[in-house]
Amino acid sequence: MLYSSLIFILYFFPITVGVYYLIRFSQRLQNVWLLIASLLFYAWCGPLHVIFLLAFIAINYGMGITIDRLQKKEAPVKPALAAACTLNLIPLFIFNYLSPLAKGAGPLLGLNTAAVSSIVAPLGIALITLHSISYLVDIYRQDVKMDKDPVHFALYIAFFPLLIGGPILQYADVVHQIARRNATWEDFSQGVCRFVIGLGKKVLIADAMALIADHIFNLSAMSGSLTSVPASLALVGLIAFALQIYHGLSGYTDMALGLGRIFGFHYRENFNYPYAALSATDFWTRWYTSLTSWFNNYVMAPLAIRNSSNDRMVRNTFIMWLLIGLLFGCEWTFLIWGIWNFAFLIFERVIELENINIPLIPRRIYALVFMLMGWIFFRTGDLYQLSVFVGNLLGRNGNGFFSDMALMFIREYWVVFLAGIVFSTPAAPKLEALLIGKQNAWSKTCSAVYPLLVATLLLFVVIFLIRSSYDPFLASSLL
Amino acid sequence: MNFYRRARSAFAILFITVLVAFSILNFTTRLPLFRTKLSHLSANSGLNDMIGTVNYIANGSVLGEEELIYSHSLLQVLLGKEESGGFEIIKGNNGELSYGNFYPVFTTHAEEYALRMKRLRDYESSKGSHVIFINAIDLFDRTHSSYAADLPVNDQNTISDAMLYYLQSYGIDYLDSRKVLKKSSLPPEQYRYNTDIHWTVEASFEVFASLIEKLSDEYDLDLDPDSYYTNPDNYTQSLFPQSYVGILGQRASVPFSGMDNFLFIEPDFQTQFTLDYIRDNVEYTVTGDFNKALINHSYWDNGYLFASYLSGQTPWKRITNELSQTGPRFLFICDSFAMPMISFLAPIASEIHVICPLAGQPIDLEQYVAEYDFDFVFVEYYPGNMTEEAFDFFIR
Repeated sequence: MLYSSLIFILYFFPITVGVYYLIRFSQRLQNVWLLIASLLFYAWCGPLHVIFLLAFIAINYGMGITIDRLQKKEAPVKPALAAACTLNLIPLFIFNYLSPLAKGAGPLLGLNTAAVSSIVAPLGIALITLHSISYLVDIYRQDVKMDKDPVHFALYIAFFPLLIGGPILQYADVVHQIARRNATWEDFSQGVCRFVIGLGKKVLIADAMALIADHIFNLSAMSGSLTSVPASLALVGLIAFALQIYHGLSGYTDMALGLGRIFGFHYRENFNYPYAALSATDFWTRWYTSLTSWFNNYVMAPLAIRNSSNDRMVRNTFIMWLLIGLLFGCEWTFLIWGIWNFAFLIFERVIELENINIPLIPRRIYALVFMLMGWIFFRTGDLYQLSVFVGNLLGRNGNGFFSDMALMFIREYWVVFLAGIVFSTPAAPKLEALLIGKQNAWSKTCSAVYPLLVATLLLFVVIFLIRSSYDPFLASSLL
Repeated sequence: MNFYRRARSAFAILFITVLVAFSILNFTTRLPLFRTKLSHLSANSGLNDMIGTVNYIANGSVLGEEELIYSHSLLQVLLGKEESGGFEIIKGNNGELSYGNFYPVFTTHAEEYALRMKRLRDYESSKGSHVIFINAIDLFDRTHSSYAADLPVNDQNTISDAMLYYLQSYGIDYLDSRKVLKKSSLPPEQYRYNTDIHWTVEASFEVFASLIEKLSDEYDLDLDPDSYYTNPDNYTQSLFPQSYVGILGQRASVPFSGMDNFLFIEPDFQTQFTLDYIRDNVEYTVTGDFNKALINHSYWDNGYLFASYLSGQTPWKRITNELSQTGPRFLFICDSFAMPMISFLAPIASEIHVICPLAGQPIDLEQYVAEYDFDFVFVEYYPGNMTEEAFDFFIR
């Protein structure tokens, strides 16, 4: 079940919200209800996977209690924490890496790996793993007092708004909200609007861009004797993918934050117009910030404690980006993507880019090249596709530059390209501040039009959802 | 800012009220469908099947769906788009719709299908019968169709080319409808409907006339010595202007697709038939003249006029000509394209059997041809339908 599916919008969402507000007299009952809804949501994506989820919750809850007790007894806790973290990483390894490894190694070794290759990863396995490690480490560090209510912990792990695209939570940030929160009408109305905006970004922009990017990257993978992907077409595909991944992930984040807000949760923002960044460092303070924040807190910080020399800092940054690359899959291209980010971040740190006075346009071009090249590594499935796509983009495959198909994609989807680009910049909040933030007649008129605009957006979403027969790759496959 | 908050609250109230009302209404109207589909699940069906069924109904069927798809179609037109449904359907410069395909690499098993045709031909030859293959035209006409630069049109003519090449190499006779129509007086824009995958009834009539000519010239079977049956003047031609929306048009909706003229052709001479056919495992019998027996008028009500000929594609049907017991006996193994052509052949044959392997209820064709004797066996397919299921006969 996706947030952008009709079954979610028409049935799951209104029933969950309706019952939640009906039982507002008891926070505990509300949490139990949210947990039941979350388990149903999870079961809908794979009934057997819910058993895995429950086992995962039970084991981590038990390990959390063990760590807490050992802390109180002042016994050595590190071995228990290490064991618990390793145990958490095993399912991630099995589901995310064993299957692709078996697919690759099986034919080479002459082994029948059909059973392993057909393993389907449970929904949000990476997110669940990161949440659990955060829980264990926060208890170990005594950043937060352990909440022993199993419902609270289960809800932290399984809360349905976060299962598809995050953001990645840190236990210490949210444990208090689970135990005690107050969902106001203001929360509800803001949450609804945020959810609809996220839905619009996902359905109207990301899905359309996914269609274009998928076709162009597929054609590039096939290119050779049968097809040719000229440089301009490859560029359109790359831009489409950049817009798809931004609006897809930030759309899911908007939906998650909106849904959370409806139930009274306040999560940190995850995106801050990353394509407006002026450097790689700037980009990573704006793009999926909960990811880098988690790795900084749970990977970089422990490594830095031992030794904070520059050499160690470089090594630690390298380890962190290697792990981030690996989190997305075991393809070489993800590893290269991790190393690409590491190289730029270190380079900018070494030359102290922020202190160099470079005009805005060259800085933007530099940042865009960094971002777009990074997405090539991320999107191409293997090294062969990567080399072909880069060759196509640079016109090194005898593929030429001009493409009628590129123009055709732009002609057919110019509105979506335009909306995708405009809404990737801080234009919307600036416009909002300009039009709505004042106490004058013009501002009031614009405010009055607001419900109409969001309602129209929702209508468009429903129209496109019904017509859509295309199922592009999902954010859930990324996290 | 207070006013802005109030506006946001107004939307939230509007959203939740409309959503809840719509969800309840949608659920209550879809409840019978939920019940029927879920009751069809067998006792062995697991939770996955149940979830799949509920997903299928909930995601695939929404109150006001047609109106919403109409709105989508209208939006496509307002945006000046030439594709619909993510390039599922594309529109040509003359308004003709086609399927889109970015990957024009077809895996055809034409040689294998031609080999099966050869086995069928060899078997029928041993019984003194003949086999002729007829290829229906593709949506894309290389000499006439015109699309904006690099729209990914699905050109399936290579499938037909491959099939005819292998048929020729096995010495099996065929009628290439593309050549027939090029030679005819019919203008290219009347070969097919803009909104449908099918050829027009008038194109179908041209192929019928060409088939009669072929039988006369090459098989010495002069079914129409006076050119009476192949003369369009001996048929009533009723034009339904701007009233037809075919399969592609229904999918993309009318604002995007537009509508077609539909020319309905029926004999102006006396006819009397009995049509037996099977649909959804039920056998039906209709008796009467051409209009009563061979035309299913229920399709006129829902606007899909092409399927009114012989009720479209059904697993099996038999037309018995009550006015002529001496004419030849034909078997058609075919898809829906052939229905008007078979209807026009009916007055000059004594009996026509029609088997559509793609209609869902497979019939053992080897057993069938062993059981009955035919003068001619015709195999007709549209290139997109040249699949394993379509040639499910004489596999070894």
